[in-house]
Amino acid sequence: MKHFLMPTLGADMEAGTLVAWRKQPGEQVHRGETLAEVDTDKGVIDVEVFHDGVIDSLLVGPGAKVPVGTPLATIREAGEQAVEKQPAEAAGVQAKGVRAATELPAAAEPAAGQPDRQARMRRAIAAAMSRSKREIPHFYLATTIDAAAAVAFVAAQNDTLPADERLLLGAVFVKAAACAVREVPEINGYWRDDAVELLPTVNVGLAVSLRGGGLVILTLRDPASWTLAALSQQIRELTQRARTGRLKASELADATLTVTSLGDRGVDSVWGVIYPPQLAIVGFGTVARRPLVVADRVEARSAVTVTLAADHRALDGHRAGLYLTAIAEQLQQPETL
Amino acid sequence: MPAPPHPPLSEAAVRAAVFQALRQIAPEVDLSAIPDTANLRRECDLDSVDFQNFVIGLGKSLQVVIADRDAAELVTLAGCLGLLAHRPSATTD
Repeated sequence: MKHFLMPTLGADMEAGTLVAWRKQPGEQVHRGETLAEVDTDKGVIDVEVFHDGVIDSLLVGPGAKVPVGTPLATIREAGEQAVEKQPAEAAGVQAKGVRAATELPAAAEPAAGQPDRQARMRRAIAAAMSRSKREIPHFYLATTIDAAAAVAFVAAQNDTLPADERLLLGAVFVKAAACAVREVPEINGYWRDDAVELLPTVNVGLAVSLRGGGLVILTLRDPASWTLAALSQQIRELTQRARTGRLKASELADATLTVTSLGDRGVDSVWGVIYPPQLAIVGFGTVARRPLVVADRVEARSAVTVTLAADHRALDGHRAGLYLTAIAEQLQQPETL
Repeated sequence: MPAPPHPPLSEAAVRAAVFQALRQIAPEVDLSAIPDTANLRRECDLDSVDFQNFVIGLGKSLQVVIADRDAAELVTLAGCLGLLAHRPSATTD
């Protein structure tokens, strides 16, 4: 028997409210399918299941607010027998004070109005960012990179591609940041319990501002393994859903390194605040024509200032500098990305 | 088999498609208040991702191919009309 849990969507999430079940006991579910809708500080999200099986019982009913990690349902895997149904007892054991789903009214509408969501999101951002600045000894590095190769590459590719397969310069930046981790693996992971926990896969958290205020960090899973076209498509789709639709829990969880890009807003550089428990945040400013020295001559070139804020508990300036250099090298060879 | 001929797009059709595509991205913006020559990216607060989605949406709803080098013209309503109105739909460029 597997438990289906209230997901955690980052250090700033403590609890979520079950809005509705999409499946009922006895129904077959497949890995990746949405099982429940949950209201969080990041809006209502769809929570997917990670196992194939049959829903055995629902332990929490619509309207219940429970801490992250609380079992919401049990799932029988192939070959397992149905458990004797004692919903009231089961619910009592699994989540104190929560009545069994079967006894609760069906799908109550979420109480979360727009102003309320805004206020809750503000509080969640305030909590995470205050904790970051309180606990993480940030240090900062920057470098201005010749972006002509990346800009020309994207333009040349897009000239021949249909609109929905075109590349985003932002996708090139994300992939360069992910691939550069190969050179400096100690930038990717978490600081937990007074120790560094490095992770083998880079899941890039992409900061996306929301219309009307607030932001979410979208999770791009292992972008180093994606083509730039597929990554661009994913960024377009997730950004649109973050701003006007709905996201899935897996699209907001498990980021290991954050990238923020304020290039569209015309700023030269952005100095990020690390999202705990991550170790670093990479910032891309506006790509603009700037005087650069090329072969001992001053030329007008497309350039971008890339910054890094890193956790000094976990790594030092020398390695962090090598990481920024590695990003710069990746961006000089966009065709290898 | 040659594609059947399509009538050219009317200005009204282009305008409606622009509004529809913008509503998908910026549902809270009062589109009727935006002058034809205003910069849509500024008026609707569209970043580069939004703008690519706008170009994709516009191309799909009008069934036209919009070349990437032309996309910058779509930044105003007047530019959208200039590029797309009177052009036959369902072109393959």
